[in-house]
Amino acid sequence: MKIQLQVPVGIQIQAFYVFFLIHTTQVGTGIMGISTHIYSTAKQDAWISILVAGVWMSISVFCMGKILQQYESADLPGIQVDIFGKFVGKFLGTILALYFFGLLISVLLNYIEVIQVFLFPTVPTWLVCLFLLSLVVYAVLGGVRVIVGVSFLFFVGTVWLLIVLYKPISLMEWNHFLPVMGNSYSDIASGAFKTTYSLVGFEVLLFIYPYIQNKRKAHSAAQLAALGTTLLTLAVVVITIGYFSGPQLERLIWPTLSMFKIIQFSFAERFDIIAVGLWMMIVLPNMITAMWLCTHTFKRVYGLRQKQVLYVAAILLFFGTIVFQDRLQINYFTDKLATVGFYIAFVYPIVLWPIVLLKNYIRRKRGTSQ
Amino acid sequence: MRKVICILCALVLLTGCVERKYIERLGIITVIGYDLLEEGFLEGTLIFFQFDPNANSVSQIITSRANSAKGIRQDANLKSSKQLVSGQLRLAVFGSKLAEKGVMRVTDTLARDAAVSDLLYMTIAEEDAKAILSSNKMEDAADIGNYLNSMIRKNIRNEVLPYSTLHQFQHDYYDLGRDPILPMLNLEDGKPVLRHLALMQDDRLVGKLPVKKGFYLKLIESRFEAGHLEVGLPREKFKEYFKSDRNHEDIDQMFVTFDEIKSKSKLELISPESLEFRVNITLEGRILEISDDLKIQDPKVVKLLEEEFASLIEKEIESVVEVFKENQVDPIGFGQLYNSKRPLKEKGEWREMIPDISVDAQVKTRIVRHGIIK
Repeated sequence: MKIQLQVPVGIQIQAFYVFFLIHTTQVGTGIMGISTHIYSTAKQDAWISILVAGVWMSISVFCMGKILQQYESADLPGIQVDIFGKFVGKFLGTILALYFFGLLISVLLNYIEVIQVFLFPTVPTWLVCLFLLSLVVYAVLGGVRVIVGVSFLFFVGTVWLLIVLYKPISLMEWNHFLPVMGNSYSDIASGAFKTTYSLVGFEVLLFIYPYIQNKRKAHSAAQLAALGTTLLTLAVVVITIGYFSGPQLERLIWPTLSMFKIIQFSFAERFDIIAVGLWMMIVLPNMITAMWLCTHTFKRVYGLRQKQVLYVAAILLFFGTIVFQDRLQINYFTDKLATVGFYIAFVYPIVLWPIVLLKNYIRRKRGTSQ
Repeated sequence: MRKVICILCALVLLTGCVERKYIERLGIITVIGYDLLEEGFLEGTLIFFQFDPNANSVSQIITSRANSAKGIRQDANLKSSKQLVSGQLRLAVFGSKLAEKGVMRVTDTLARDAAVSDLLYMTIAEEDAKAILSSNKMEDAADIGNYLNSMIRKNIRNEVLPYSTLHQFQHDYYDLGRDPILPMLNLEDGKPVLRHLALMQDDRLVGKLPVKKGFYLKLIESRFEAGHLEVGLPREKFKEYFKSDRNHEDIDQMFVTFDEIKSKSKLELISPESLEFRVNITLEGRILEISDDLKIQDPKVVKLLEEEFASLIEKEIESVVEVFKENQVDPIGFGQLYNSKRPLKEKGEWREMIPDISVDAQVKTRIVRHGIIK
């Protein structure tokens, strides 16, 4: 397999769009329930946990940028083969592809459950799954430019949801945040760890890089996207902690969605129903990107045709979602996946960067000595 | 073109895949009342709207018995041809017997069911919820539920009642160092009226506070944007400023009504050891009514009025806090403040400390206007 990926100009994208691609890949089902997870350990200091996780993410993105700079136009599957050799490189690539597959299942299951709880209690899982998957397959068939376009459109289409949060903001109580630093460092650190599930997804930079036209600006666009997601998560968590009282928050499964229950307009009495429906626009780009990442990685590693992989993956996903039925299973699966995601997005790039530097240093030395 | 038609057909057909709800076949519950019967059974009274063009009345009332709140709905479904749904539930009324045992037993289902709005108003009946919902004195509202709901909503907007939605109730119930407070409905000549606020220990009704005293509760806890208040000030002190003596001598109070009251308050915990709180309140309002003929244009009179008004509020705040201490309730959230300095472990811990708190109120008042006459 080739390490460098040469992409024709016709299907390249502007670095500007990387912001939307990364941001929409990060924001999805995680943010629906993030506050409860962080609050369960870091309590009123949850906001510190998010800042810690945000800084860490920024460092990880920085390492990704540095790794990519070492190559002209390569992506992670290619780099892995270059660094670790064919066998290990392909093995790691397979793990990545499977991880994205798992991410897709987790997003699908979580969102379908929300639909069943809030909107249609009797609708079967497979039906919603079929609808969502057909949209995902349709978008991925369109290629990278369509995927990026969907991210951009759906970002613009949902970002206004932030405005209606004025109502819960007006009901916030600031003494829920006192005393500051009332929890131990280890609690805050484990809160930061729990934040990572809603932040993963920025590793898409390592895959989309060859498709970017002006590669120099890619790094800053990625940093901006990471910053945007951190701020959004921070806003959501701060508002939910202020709006709900502590033990009440701990009982909620999706505090972010529950918060929409207080919003009421004379033309839309139950805004939460609209919000849950609109959430599909937040979740779809997420699933589309994950599907593209999964199929693209398989294509890169094994030289398969992406279309065939796509159809097989869609069928497997369809049956995969039937296996998981209740809340506890979904929770268990999501937790395990979050741990894997943490190592892939937050640890791996930081470890990989020195290895890449070392390898290239040795290579250059050999080149000069010959 | 053929593609578009295919997609359109698919869209039309696919909408049939999810469950359908025909409005004519639904009974849309707007109010639900819960009472506790002696054998531990719950009695539920449901009022629901029906949109059947053949029906005589717009709403129906059904009473049913069960062990759980959802059981009540199932039992009620056996008594009606309509499919009962709770997405438009606006008001829950808890009978006093149930409230004394604790309302969380039924509130749990309201919170758990995603269909129920968080903006639902919670109230407690001074006697039976069923009696209140069965009343037929409802002014010209469509049904009793509509009347109760508008009455409560109006009074919350007018800053007379505390904000008592399901969300607020749960928030206060779960928060450490705070108790919920709910309005109480009572029957007066067979008509449901609001007279008291329910003082609650967690979810249990323990006492009552007249709605008028609720003013002082809100004064400490949050702020007023356009409140109103009627007070009786000692008549003796104003005697020298009377223009004429239009009132009977035997009343020793001068009644003044203030409205458009704006206030701000700042509650502080001075010492966590001795549980001393201080509240600084600044309040401004306009006079709308004075029972005596007072030389109101005299700055000295205004000053005196302001001072008397302030000292009266301070006294009233003390008496309200005294009521809270007697009942061991904390609807203001003194405990929240304590919790932010010395984290509490559980709700009971603060409950033991409530009788020992002391509140020092310092009030500054300002009279902005006094109507269109001098």
